[in-house]
Amino acid sequence: MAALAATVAASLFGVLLDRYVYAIIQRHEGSFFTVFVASFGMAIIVQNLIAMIFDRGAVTVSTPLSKSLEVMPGLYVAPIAAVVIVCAIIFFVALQWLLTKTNMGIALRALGENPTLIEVYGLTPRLLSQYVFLIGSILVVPAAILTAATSGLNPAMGNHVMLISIAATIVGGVGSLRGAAMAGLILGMAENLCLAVIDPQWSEAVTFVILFLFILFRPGGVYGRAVVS
Amino acid sequence: MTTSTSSQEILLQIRNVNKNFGGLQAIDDVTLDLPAGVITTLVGPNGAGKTTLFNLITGHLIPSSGTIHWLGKPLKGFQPWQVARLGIARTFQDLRLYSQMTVEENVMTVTERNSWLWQGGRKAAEQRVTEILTETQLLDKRHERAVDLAYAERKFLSLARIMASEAKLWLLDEPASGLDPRSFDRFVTLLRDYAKRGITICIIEHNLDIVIKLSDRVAFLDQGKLLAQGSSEDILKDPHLAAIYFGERA
Amino acid sequence: MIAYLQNIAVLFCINAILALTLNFIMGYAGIFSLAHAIFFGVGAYATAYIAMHASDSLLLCMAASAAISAVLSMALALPALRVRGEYFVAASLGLQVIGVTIFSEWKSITGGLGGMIGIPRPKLWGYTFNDDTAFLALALVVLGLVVGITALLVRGSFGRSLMAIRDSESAAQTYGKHVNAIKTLSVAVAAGLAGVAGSLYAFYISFINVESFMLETSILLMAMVIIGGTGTLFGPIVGAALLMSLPAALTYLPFLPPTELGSIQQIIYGLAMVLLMMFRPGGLVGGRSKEKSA
Repeated sequence: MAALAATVAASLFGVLLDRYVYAIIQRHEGSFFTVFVASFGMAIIVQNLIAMIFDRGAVTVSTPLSKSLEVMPGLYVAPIAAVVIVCAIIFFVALQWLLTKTNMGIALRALGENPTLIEVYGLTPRLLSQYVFLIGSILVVPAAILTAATSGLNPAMGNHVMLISIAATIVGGVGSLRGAAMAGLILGMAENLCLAVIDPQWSEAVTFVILFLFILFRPGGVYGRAVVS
Repeated sequence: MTTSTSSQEILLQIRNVNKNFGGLQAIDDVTLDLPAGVITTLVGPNGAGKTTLFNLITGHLIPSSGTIHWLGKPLKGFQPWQVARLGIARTFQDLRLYSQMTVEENVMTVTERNSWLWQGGRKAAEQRVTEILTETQLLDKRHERAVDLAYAERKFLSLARIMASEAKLWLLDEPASGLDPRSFDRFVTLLRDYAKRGITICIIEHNLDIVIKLSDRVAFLDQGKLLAQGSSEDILKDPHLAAIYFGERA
Repeated sequence: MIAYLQNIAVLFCINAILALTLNFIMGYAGIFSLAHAIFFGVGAYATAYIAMHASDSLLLCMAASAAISAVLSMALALPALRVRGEYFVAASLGLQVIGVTIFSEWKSITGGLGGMIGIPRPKLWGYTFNDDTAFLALALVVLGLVVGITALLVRGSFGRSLMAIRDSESAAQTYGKHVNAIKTLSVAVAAGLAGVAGSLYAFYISFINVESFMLETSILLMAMVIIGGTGTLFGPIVGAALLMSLPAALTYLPFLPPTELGSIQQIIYGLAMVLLMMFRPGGLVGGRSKEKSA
């Protein structure tokens, strides 16, 4: 029940944001800079609104799945971890299918390459972009729910999520779904390895060291097209 | 096919240049001379490699084999900004004006090669800018932003920039497309003027009317190969070339 | 009251310098950096360390702060040379996070999370700036110098080269601009002057720690530049003034719960950023919409 409400809320927010804020910006000039700043401003607003309304502390949701079980001697895993992995795989496959097999999906990929051509086929970039926000927003919900159940939520985590998403997109290669998945895996593992082996203070920085190195030496990411100025 | 070689200096020499991208042969064994004071036009169907050839000259691309000599010296391994300082300049099909800067600033900044803090010869540079703006009839628009100009004015601003660069070789990519007849005549006059001063000009153009009015010589490119070169009459009257140009291939 | 105003004034000077220098690379060179707080921090730590261990000479510390910041800015310049806008922001973000971690961990130089305390006031030709009013005068002079340097660079041929690169890097290259050198130099100048601001800050507050140099600060600086107006000389100063007076102005509104002031502040400038981008992307001073390229 709550999950459904969350989905509706998130998608509504995403679509409205696109329709009312980004659309206006793009009509005037829509350069990367303005959209980026606007989204940043939006993030600041939402983050603080949430902090004000829901209090600043961490929030967790406990479910029976969160309790760890001893799988092998010394190795404790919570069933919820399995849920996370399964979800990730399901969504990945679903998204892949959406992008390659459905008309809308193909149109979306074309939008990334050549927006004007879309109009020739009777589609509007505006409408497509709303779909993108709809899908994107919906996809975030399961991640949020699972995070609530595992590590807990707090209003400031918006920053962290944003940073990771950007890092994963670039390291994986813009435009490549496989790349994003792979990068998410690599970065997640790197961060946790760091927590366990090297000084935990460096765990957040490790993600960025990797990102930085990629930008310097391989801006196209693992799977993406090379994008050099 | 006549190749008219006058006693003009041959400033740019392209010799057996090849360029391939993976499996695609973009430029196939092209040999071409661009003499001083002559307006040469590159024609050919889309994808023939005309812009690629320009990119090879300006250093944006490196030839897979072959040589390009400018003023007797080979252009090897130079960055685009270094090629520019050797006296080669080009315009772009999409103009790429400095959109947020004013007309005057657009031209001024081209004259400021060594763009550090101190710029000597200030007065002379300002005079030159005024001259150029007068020649291109942009003087009364000097404080307008490039992005606010009308279409023809933008084309002339693009030309003004290359005029300010003091380059001896001009590579113009569709510089006159879309100009109304009056502006076009002005354009031709300006180009011929500079050609008389000894500038080597090479133009990529699709519009055959423009080709006829502008060129001294024409070079026909197709699928990376230089099929023919000569006077505009010779090339344009050749039915074989016309067939290729209009898309019917043997 | 006077003391309070003086305090705000000094901090305003420091923030104005930071905003001006950030605008230099963001508004004129088109390099969107979220790492500006790091150069601020490097300058502050450099001065703190030298002042406490070697010499409290004003000129020496400021010069050292500027130089060290400028050299370290190569770390930012390198990705700026490689990739365009979107990617570069991510790189600067990365640098910001890495920088904060280094500030927190390198205990021997930066004092770690505890920071450094007891930084003395600077000495110039025998005079020590213990008096707050005198320090304010110093801050104003430095601000004036920074404005002067920025104006000189921006209105001359260097500024035109920067803008040309911003508007069309390929055209700039084609017309002879040594793009890499120019970008590197502009980043170095901006970082060096930000380091000077850091130096002032360390001297004034006499206690610094990593909290002042985190992502929040970089974002605040970016907000100042954007709200005031990118690509204009006085925009950043206006932006700094506005955003600094915000907290004070808010305390005068009785109906706002005091515990939430911090959040409300952030919401206001977040909102300002969004609205400005929708209707007036040039900022308050810039005004005119920045349209697509010619």
